[in-house]
Amino acid sequence: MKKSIETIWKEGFIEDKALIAPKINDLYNQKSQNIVDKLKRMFDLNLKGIAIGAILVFGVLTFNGLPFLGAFISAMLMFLVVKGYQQFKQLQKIDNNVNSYEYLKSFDGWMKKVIKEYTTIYRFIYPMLFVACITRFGFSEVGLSIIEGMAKDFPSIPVVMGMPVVIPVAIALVAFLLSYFAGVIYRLDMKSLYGRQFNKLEEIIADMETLQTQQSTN
Amino acid sequence: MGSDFYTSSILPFAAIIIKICRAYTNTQEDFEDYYQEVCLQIWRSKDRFNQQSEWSTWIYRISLNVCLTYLKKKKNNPQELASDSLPPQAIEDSHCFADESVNQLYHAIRQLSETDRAVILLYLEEKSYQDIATIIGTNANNIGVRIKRIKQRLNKILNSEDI
Repeated sequence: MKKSIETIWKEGFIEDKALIAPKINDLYNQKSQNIVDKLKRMFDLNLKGIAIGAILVFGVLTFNGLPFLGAFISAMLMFLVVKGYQQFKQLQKIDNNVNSYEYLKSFDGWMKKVIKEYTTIYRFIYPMLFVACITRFGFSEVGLSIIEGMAKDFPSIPVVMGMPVVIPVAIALVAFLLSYFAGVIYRLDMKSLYGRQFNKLEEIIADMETLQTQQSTN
Repeated sequence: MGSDFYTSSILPFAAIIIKICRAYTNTQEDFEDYYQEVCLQIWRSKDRFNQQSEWSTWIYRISLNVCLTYLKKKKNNPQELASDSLPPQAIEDSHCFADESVNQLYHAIRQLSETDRAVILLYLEEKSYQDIATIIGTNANNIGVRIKRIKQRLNKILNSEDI
């Protein structure tokens, strides 16, 4: 008679060597390497994505009769790509011969520095992109008719460079706000892309620090 | 992870973790990854253990959570699925246990849905219906019926493969 699954389970594991725990080897070394490799791959992929985006934007806008706007946006995006690869080069300088904890701390420090530098860059890029797009819109038929309509409907508003002063003031205000909140916008962007990996990295560093504390108190 | 904690709180329960991880993995490499991750999560979550249940129950819960999460991750990332997609003849550890009946039973268990695997493993480990329900987060009322259905399915698989 065949054994029931309960009996197989009950009798099957007696003195089974397969139930001896496998060795935990280099757990944090592996994890550190995995997370760093993954983040590097993601950064690289992101930069390639921006480069492709820059080419596409230029192509699409040129095709739609906006070559200057296309070239401007594309140039800004390419600047981000070049800057990114420059940062990547700095990453290679991190000493690989230190222990996992020190390597991760160096990597974390590099990443924070990159984020800080990009935040500064975006303080200019976001408002410049906005001003470029809105200026081009202002020269379009729709834009011109809106400006003319405003000038007609509100003749009491002073006019600067052929447009009611509220328009450049509003543009300047939005550009200022974009610059002011560039850090927040960029951090949100980074969080949506790399949030989980950043959390993992912090988790691993925290684990290692806890272990170091435990080891030093023992 | 502190070696003291591993030796005193995980190692005595390693069999539980091994039995569960084996049910969710096909290769030795995957098994070792899952095992390590479970140990790490047990260590990380040790402060959340409130002693209302047994430590072993906590280990079952963490082990299953980790395995299910890992499996979900692998499904979302087909690249990582490579080792799970190996043809049956290439599976390295299909004979990892000394008793061939256990290997065959595992082979059948791996064909169940992820949650059914959890239910049957807990049942075979003689957990109460209430414990099973708590661990997998369901109502205890239908656990008995579910186990009966899973056992029928397992027997069908075992018989159909002439085991």
